[in-house]
Amino acid sequence: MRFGGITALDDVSFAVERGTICGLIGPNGAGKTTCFNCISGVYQSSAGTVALAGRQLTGMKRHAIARAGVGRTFQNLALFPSMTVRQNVMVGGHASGRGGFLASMFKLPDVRRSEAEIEARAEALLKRFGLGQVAAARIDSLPFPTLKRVELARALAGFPSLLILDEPAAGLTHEEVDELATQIQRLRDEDGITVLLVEHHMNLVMRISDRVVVLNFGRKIADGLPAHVRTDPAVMTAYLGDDK
Amino acid sequence: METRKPALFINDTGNRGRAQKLAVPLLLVTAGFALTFLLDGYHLLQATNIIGFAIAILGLNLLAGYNGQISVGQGAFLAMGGYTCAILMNRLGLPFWLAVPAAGCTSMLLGFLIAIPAIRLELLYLALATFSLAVALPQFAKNKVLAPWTGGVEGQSIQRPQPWSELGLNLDQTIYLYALLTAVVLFWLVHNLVSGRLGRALEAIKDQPLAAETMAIDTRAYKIKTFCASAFLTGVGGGIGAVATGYISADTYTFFISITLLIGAVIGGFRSILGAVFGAAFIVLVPMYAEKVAHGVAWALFGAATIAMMWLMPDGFAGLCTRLREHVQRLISRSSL
Repeated sequence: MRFGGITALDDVSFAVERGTICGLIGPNGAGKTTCFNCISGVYQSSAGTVALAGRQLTGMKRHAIARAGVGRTFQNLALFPSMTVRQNVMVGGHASGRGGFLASMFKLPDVRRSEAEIEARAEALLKRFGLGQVAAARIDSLPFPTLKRVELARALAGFPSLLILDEPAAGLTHEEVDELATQIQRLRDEDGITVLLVEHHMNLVMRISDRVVVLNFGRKIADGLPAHVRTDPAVMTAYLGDDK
Repeated sequence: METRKPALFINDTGNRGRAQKLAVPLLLVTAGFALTFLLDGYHLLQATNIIGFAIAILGLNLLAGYNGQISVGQGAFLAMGGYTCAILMNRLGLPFWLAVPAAGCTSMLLGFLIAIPAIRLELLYLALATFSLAVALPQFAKNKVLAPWTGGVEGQSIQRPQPWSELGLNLDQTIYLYALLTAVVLFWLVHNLVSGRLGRALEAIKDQPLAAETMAIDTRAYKIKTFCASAFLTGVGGGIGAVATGYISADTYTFFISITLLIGAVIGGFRSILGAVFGAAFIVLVPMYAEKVAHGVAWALFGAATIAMMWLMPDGFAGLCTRLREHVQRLISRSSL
């Protein structure tokens, strides 16, 4: 992956096992977000491929990548301000709905059924993330940590098989991070979703990841169990600097 | 529990009962139907014009208010609809009730051709592109090659259609009633569209295009389809206007009419369905009465009225209604606590 003359990601290759949590860490500018954007199709990589369950995602349109089962959240939130919390979550269920323009205009039975399903799914997710009270509230009236939960619920409404979370712990308090850790583990254990976690919050990543991939200056410098990565000399140098 | 809810609420699903939701549309349709027999010819013509503009503005609301694509050249689709009607009725002898939907279709075709390149444009550039279209189209109508079809610079009269005399209606009543029925159907269709899954998708595209794509929404396809639907509606509006007036010329469709439509949309409320009716009534009635009150400075009066409306209701008429309703609901819930 290149931007102008700068190679942001260079020969980075890693695999995430189905139904596991993989942490992607690295110092600022290591290429975490670039890597993230390559997977979700925000950037087209100049070389290399991304595959999900054996299916090529490289070169696919963003909406098609989402339809193929890749869900994501955004570091700085990208909710829909003209809608309520409930409607935001319902947009997440778009892919599972049926009916085009004409069918929707005539509200055909299939469209009604599909709408009821999306609503039921949204309702269950609102409950799960403790958002029932604010379901009818507009986005701009709610605090940041609540909105982070809305984004998570919205991403889940689309039944993703791979969920990539961009710094989900950013801006949260200690207790909220603990709660988030539980929620992410539930995604793996109960929903069977594969999670790719891009995080600064080392504690969170080390605690819940099954595997950790470390990037630095666009290269992979470590890949393995959290305990191993923690003591890896290359990682320690990257984070703490070179003593020489 | 109630007190913990935040202050800002908007209606999303099922907050209001079915009867309550149907009350305003039903009232409007009943009143509209009654007007068929209450108004004389001239006033009925104005009422038909209002309906035509309301459908045209509905198209603009769908495009700009719900999908965030600003078109300042909606008059081009109005013209397309008008000319299609004129040509089909005069040349092919098509009855007006077939010519009007056909007007929507040709307008939609034009919309589709414009949408493919225009859809990639950012807000302001899209506005400029649609502006160019609105300026160019009347020029084509005046063109000598096309003049035998369009009527050229002088314009052309449209053959007066047959009234539905079996129903005891005269010509004005026939056209008005047809326009009313068409409007009811189209408003219902658009309401269904925007209140469901696709409506949410359209608004998601307006709010956060990137996030919308992440929700598996094909933004490009939806934007093109919305553009087409909008062009269809405005084309039908143009067709109704042309049939009602019975005369068409390039001067009917100057750039001014595009701006007037935009004013009507904003005053009615961009993100609304029924607001279009109010907006249309405003742009037809205010200039008409302004002319009576202050001969010669009518447009100044229209401008002043527009500014006053914007100041009184910044979210348009529909926004004002929503705020009033929320206010009443809050009063009721407070008194019941």
